[in-house]
Amino acid sequence: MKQVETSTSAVELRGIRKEFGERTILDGIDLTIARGEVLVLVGPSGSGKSTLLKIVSGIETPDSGEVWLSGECCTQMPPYLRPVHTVFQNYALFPHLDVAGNVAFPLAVAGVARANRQPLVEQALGWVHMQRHAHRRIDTLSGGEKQRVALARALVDQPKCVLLDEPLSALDPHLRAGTLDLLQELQGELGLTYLFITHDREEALRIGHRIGVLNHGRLEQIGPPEEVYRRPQTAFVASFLGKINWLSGQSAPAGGRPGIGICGCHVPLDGQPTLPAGPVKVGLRPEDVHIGASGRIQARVVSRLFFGDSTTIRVQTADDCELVVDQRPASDAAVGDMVWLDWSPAAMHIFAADAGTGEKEHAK
Amino acid sequence: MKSLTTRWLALPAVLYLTVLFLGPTSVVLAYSLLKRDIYGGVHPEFSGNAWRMATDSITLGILARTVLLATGVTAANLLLAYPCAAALARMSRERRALWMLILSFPMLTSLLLRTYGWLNLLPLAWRGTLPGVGLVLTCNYLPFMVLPLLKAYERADRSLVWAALDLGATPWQAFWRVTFPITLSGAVSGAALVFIPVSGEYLIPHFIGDGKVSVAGTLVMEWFDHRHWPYAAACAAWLAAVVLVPIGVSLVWKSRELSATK
Repeated sequence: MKQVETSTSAVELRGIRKEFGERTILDGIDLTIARGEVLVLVGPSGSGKSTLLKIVSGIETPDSGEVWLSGECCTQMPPYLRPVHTVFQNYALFPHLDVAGNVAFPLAVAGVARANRQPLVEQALGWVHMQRHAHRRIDTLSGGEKQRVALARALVDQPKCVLLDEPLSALDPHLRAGTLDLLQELQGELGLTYLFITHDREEALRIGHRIGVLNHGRLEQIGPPEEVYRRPQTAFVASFLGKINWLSGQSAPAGGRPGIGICGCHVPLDGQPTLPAGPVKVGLRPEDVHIGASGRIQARVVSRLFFGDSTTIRVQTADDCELVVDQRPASDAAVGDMVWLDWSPAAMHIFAADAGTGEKEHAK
Repeated sequence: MKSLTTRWLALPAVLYLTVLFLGPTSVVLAYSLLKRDIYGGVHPEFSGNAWRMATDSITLGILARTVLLATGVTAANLLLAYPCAAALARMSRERRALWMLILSFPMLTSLLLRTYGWLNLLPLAWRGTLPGVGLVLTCNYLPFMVLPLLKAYERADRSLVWAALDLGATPWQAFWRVTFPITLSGAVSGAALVFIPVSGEYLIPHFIGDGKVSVAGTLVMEWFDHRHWPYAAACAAWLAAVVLVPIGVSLVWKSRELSATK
């Protein structure tokens, strides 16, 4: 008996749990991917994102929870019956077949007649600009070409969802941007649905319609890139999605209004939801702090890196608070100068003082 | 310069082959064309008699039986070794080492003892029959098939099977379309390693066959015993010719594969 639901989501996960021995890899994941949506799951290694992808593809089965694909319950369905394909990190191209043979594979095993495969294979190779390489051997291809063949192979029979398992991490850095462009372009043109796994936050922010941040098998936050970047709900999310200065502060209401004391200055807050009382941890992104002739506190420039269009300046306040500040366009402040720092109260990400930022786990 | 040096490195092997293989083989061929000496050995006089005997229906029948036996044993070994190699390939390094030891353990005892052991194990009805001989040979040669297959399985990365399943192949399709073609060269090597010695086997057909299963190996042995050296030499030459076929096939295969990967 097939359970059928009238939902329009391409992928729906309900309460997915998975344990390996004593370790909990996935601790109750619920998420939905709409048709034509790009959902990016980011997280440090060991956060469970690869296991989650395997559960969607059917190579792993969850200990509990349900996998729905295109309105059909697929939890117990073997991988070869599921309407999804994976683009693997190591490409996983078949070495004994040529480019066209690899791309034709999903059609061949589905029983599509040889004559009918040809135009579909050509079309898929066209999408990834590999038409002219149809008869090359796999071991003569470059990494970027291999990844494009793997992509064509995953797209050739138009799956309901394409699972991308860190598709760019094995590529040379200079190829990544181009491949990401291609992935984005194809998604738009063909209306594809992606479940994209990566540990690279820039990749995630760039391609995701929505981003889910996984940590220790839990989804800490899921939402549009701007939202998870600008309004992180946990210190881990704030820390994982971009560079951030962590300062310790104190919840300090003044005159009936909430406020924060950090680095020897008092910042009144308006419209901030309930603040944790007592000591707090305050995150300030380097680009949200401005150097100027006036501001909240004074600090001394400790070091300065010049990048042409911007500078990265490290400053130290009288209270020994250290901050990294990105200035675009470049600031002229020199090492040893005293400067004023300013920031908007809304730029402060305030968490309980003991909130984990996970910085050791993904220190770069 | 470099190619000259490396060519010299092949010299010991070339000498070895010339002195110990081509030499004796020529002697065997020469013996088959001489007259029989009544007390064994040959009489230095040309005779086509041995080859007339060696092309009669009895000799050809025995050769056909030998090819059938070697083919059957090779096929049975392929069927047994594939799942075995697949299981071994997925084990942890330590467990694999343990199982390889268990698998090759019988090889550490004498062939004669093992064969006598089989005489006790085998149902009486199987003794002196071709299937009985085939069974014992299959068991005896299994490691020679498993080892090259296991080596080939190392190339058939498990992620390739996952990819095949992910792309819609049933487990059976994944085997035929991915695992099998990738491991085929190992299967060819293993088949040659089994087929060639089995077609020349003497001891196991002699004991298990109980004198009722005549194959090329026993034929050669018996006629040397019966002091008909020219006929025995002609049979030995036949056997060499039979063995050359699989060697040729696997050589062509290997060279094709080598040039393809270049």
